[in-house]
Amino acid sequence: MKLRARLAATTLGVLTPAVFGLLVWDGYARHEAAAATLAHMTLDRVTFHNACAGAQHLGRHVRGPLDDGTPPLLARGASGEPGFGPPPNGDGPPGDRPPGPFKPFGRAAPPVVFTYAADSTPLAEASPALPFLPPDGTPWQAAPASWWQEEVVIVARAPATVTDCRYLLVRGSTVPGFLGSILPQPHVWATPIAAVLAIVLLAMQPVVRRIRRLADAARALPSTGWRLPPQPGPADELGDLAHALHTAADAVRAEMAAQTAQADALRAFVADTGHDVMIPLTVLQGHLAALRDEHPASDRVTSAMQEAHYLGGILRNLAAAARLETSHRTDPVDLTELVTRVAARHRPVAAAAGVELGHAVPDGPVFIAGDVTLLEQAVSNVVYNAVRHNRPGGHAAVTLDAHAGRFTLTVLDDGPGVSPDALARLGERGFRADETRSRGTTGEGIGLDITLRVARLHGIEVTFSAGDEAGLQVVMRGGVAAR
Amino acid sequence: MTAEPILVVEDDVELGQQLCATLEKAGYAPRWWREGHTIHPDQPPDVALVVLDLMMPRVSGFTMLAQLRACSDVPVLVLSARDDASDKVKALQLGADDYMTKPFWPEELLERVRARLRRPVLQRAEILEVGGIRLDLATRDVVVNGQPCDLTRVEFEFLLALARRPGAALTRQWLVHHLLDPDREGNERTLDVHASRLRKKIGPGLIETVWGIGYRLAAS
Repeated sequence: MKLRARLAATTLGVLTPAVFGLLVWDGYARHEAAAATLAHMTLDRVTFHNACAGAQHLGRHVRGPLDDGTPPLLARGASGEPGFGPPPNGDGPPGDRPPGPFKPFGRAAPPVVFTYAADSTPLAEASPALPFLPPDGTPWQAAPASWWQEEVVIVARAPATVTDCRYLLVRGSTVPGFLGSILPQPHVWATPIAAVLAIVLLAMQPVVRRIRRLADAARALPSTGWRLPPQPGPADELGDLAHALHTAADAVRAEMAAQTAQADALRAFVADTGHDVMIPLTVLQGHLAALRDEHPASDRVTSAMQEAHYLGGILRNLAAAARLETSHRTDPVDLTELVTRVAARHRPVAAAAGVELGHAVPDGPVFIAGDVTLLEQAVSNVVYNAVRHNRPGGHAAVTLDAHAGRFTLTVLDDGPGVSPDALARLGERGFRADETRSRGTTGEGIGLDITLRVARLHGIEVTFSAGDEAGLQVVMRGGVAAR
Repeated sequence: MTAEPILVVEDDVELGQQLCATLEKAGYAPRWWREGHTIHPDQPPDVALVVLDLMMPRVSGFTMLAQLRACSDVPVLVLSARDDASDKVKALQLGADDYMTKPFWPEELLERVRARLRRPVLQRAEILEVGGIRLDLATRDVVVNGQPCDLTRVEFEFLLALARRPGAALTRQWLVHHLLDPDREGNERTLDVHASRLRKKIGPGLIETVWGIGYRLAAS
């Protein structure tokens, strides 16, 4: 609409002065034409009849004053007004009939002719407004007039052979009924101008529609997978624009596909190498467990077990990081089973390190919606820390509780705990988990990273506090899903 | 007590050997399949539990799982090196009871196996028997290892709650909430007193304190 309004305004802005100029020019041209026509017709008749009286066939003829000085008589109309009026006998000269195609508002009146005798009555004195006819032989002269005036007055000199008058004054009009015209009347003007305007606006309609369609398609690009639907239309500038948008959308789609492919490749790589490493690591852990049975007091074996355990954790965390970046699922996850699995995973190494790891779960499933692998790793990292940051004879406990549609998962230990500063920083990280992405992947760093990011992803709140007597307490809270 | 047979389906030689050794040492009778085999619906493996690796040559672990479930309710513990949520969900949907990702510790596997093979708590009508403990819910009689015990109402409910979930830890909060009357100053310290008295009556070693949690009935 805005485009068309502007176009309409521009069209009007250009047309209006043009039309005005044409009207002015038409007015003057009309005057000239009317004046010339009047003069020629008058003089023709005078010459033909060789008398001023011959001009009476032109229209009403008024005999001017004779040598006796009587001022010229004006023709009077039927109702007595001076100037124009229909001839008394009705069937006047041809000019009195309305012309063919043009039907003017006012009726075209016949011209009136005034004749003047010899120079004893100078024309200038008789009618000061009349044009001065130079004595150099110019046959006729038109009176100055404005462009909008209908009245045309000319003064003509009778040929030398004519005896019954010396000058003729002819009053006519520019009304096209008689003389024809260059341009039609103003009210007829309006029709083509309105038509032009309407045509312009109508012609804009399909263009505006195409632009709107293109804009809508561009706006919808993110939700249509960056596919621009084909834009029908001629191969004009809009077609070029549509083509350019197509190309841009294709480029975006290609870029996104490349990034997805990269992410998938990363995931596949992690999965594949993980697979090749996990089995030997399991076997290694088996050997270490057997070694421990053979040497229950060996700190070296305990240490080796811890290293192997840490390796497994790192691999799992790397896999989780890759999945966090690319894709994660939402399924019903049973937290009861999850906590049981995680406790079982860490218990062997905890036992080897002299740390008692206990767990408590409700007597039934507790379902939440999320990615089982990520959630398990998130909890596992917290439990790992509780066992790792501990000493022989220490304790760690994982508790799951569900009540009124919400679950609470608590990991508690009686290790050395963390300083109040570190505790505060932990709390901050709980709020700003995104910041941890730029950190390097150090051992415990990546574990807490993953936990906080997974918690954030699942809408789980994580809080850190000092344990009642010692150690650290980590509490995870969230909503239970209705299965 | 005859050793319960467990089927181990694992293609890696080292790991398979270790799994069998671990299970045998724990008192089970492992059978080892190094390749995937089609399980015919009229020939379900006659075992107490199946440890099944998903990445098997010839017949895939998922296929075997589906075939197994078509003819048997035997507990299946799936092993996988892929820590993939889709795999887990698919395995559980196909009927697996548990899912363990490599790497794992032998003890970890044993804990999961024991959990799946745990004998359900026998409760005939109003009698509950677990380990050496026999509780009569109608008469409120308690016999522990052949010896009758005279317990208070709270002590009976305490023992009953623990006996219903042998080996599982119950939190102090839960026990206080379910056993004690809040109007009569029931709190965790009161609970601990009840636990102490109960222990004295039924004998040592049956009720374990779990640090940071509460109490549990020792798994026999």
